[in-house]
Amino acid sequence: MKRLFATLLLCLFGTLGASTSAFAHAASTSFVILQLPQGDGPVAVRWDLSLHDIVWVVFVDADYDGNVTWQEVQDARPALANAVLTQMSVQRGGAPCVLRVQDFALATRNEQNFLSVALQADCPNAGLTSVGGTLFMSGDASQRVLLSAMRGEEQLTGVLSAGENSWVEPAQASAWRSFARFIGEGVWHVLIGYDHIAFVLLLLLPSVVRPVDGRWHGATGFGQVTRDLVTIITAFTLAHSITLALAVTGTVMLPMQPIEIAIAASIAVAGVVNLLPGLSRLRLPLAFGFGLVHGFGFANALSEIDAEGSSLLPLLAGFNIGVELAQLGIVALVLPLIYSMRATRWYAGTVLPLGSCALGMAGLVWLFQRV
Amino acid sequence: MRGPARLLALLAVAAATNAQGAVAAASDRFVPDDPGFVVANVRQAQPDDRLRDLIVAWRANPTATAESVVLATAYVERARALREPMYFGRAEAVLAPLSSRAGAAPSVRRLYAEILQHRHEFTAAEALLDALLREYPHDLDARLLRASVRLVRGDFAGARSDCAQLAVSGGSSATAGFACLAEALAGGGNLSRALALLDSQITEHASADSSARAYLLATRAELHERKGDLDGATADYREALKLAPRDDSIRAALADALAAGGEVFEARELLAIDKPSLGLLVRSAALSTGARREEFSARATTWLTLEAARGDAIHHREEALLALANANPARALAAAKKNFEIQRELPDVRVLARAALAARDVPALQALRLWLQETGYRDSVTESILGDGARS
Repeated sequence: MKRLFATLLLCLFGTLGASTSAFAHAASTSFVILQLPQGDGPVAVRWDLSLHDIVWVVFVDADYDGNVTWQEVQDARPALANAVLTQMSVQRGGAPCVLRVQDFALATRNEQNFLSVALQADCPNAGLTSVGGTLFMSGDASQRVLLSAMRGEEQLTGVLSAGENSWVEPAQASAWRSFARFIGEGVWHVLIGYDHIAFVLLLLLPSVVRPVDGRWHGATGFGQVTRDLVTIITAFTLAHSITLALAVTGTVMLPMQPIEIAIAASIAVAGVVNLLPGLSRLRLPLAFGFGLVHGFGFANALSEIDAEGSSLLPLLAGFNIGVELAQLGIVALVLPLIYSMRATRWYAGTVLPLGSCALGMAGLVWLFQRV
Repeated sequence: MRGPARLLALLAVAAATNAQGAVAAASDRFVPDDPGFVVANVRQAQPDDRLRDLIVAWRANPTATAESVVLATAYVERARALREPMYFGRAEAVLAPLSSRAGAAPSVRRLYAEILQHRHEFTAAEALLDALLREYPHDLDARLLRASVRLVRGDFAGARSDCAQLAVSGGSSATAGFACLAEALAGGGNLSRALALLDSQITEHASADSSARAYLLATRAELHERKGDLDGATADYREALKLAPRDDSIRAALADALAAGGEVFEARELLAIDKPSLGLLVRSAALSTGARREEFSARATTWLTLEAARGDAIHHREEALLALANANPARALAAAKKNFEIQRELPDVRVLARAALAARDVPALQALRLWLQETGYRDSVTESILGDGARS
């Protein structure tokens, strides 16, 4: 009875008190480091393993005193080598490689000594490398293998578990393919980014009118409209290209929440500016200033895309050009319509103020949602 | 591919933001000169005789419910007793073939719910227990488990309903039900009634198992703490820790209470144990200065970085505490908010309040104030922080 009571209370306490924050260390993890050759040649493998995982497969603690000494590791070398070769497989170019244990050493990780096994994989084919096997994870669902591979200057990473126990080297995309892919990503980001479309529309709406005596009047000709638009859009583009490059290269890192708030605020402010013809001279500095903010937003969107296998320059150039193409698309769709309406009284009196008001209000709503 | 495989990892090979890269980066290899050099103590990782027998029995029939449940239960008990998370992974691996089967036995589903709790997947655990209780409404173990999940998630009304059903069930479940009811009542703000209920349980079970008494005392200590009675809280925590000296949660709570009472030196001494948990490490960092703080902070950061690389998202509370210790209120608040979405125990409420105040985030303070109003939750420290927040 007393035991049952204790068990029931422990069940309650097990969740409430003795939670994961009470464990003596993080869950079991081993580390695989690969050096991938550029062409032919062996794959160098280093595998750092916790003795806590090894002892479930290999009998290392010969005197069973709880302490595994370096001598006991030396004595167990044949069994350890055999187990390591059984637990890991490496393929290259679709063909299995022959793994050889080169040496055993130790490495200190997370305040524990790990057995560090150096291996060499001799592969009949060149091509992409894959790593798999049971990797000492059998029987422990919490076990993970953190894999890190160096391909030239590029670092690739992977997390393997008992459920997903293989890693395949991603193909290196050609510069042209990366460029083309990220043009599409840039276009797509603008098209799904309602806040960005709203801001571009707010820059566009007053481009076909001019302030005269505190009121909007239709612009006189297409040249005037084009000059205005080119200036404003160039300022915006230049600004967001600068901050996108700075953020993506890690030169400037800003937290996302204030950026998202500032983007929403930029839409609300642009809406207000459009309502007051007297403030029209602020459009250019605002386009540039808020362009800087939107660039950080683009960088955030870009960071969500799996870019493994791509190089920086084609990726950045492609994404930026994609954004510009989408912006130009919006201009091409909307400009003919508003240009044709510019001289009517209801454009300056209704379409421009109501449109700006609606978009500005949307900016305000996003602002409150993001705060 | 996880986050680190994304763009920033591509662009900045050695960037500190690449958690996995940082974790997987090669540390220096070495070969000991002394053959007697102890590489590792593996006593806790090796199965004892009883466990070995259970493993042998299970391997003979790995899909049999009885053998699987007995072995998985032994693993879970060992995980708790030894503070070894690997045994939860082993329990999960044993249960995996059974838990995916339609109509799995209640014992399998309960154990699996417990493993989900361990991973802080409380929503999934509760859903599993909801389904189980729909089928087996008289499964008292499942009800107690669901009550505990609801308490952690801050669903005090839901927990109260489960606890009340346990309390009227009679026998030992009733006792556990009363203890759990006290917690649910306290969650809803009825601290005095909860204290009275716990007092009676502690008196009634004066000769109970030491772990069970430690739980009751620690629960009462927390209520004293919430009422602002630090002396009462530290006295109960001390007694609880004497009964369960290996329990880091009680140790951490006592250290918090001592530090709040100005006994920083004693709190620091209390935290200085061999193989401290992450919760103790971040508290040590917060209560230390200079090189010691940096050392504790670095150890805790390594731990958190490894977990992030593994894809485990279970230590947001500790991440927030560490960020507060390192005077990074924005990071602390982000982690505390994430944590509050998952669990809402006293340390979670307090760390959110502290982080929101440190970050001067008025909406976060207001949201917490609203939650206190809606639930009736009372805590003198949180209320004082919210008062400061309103004045600032």
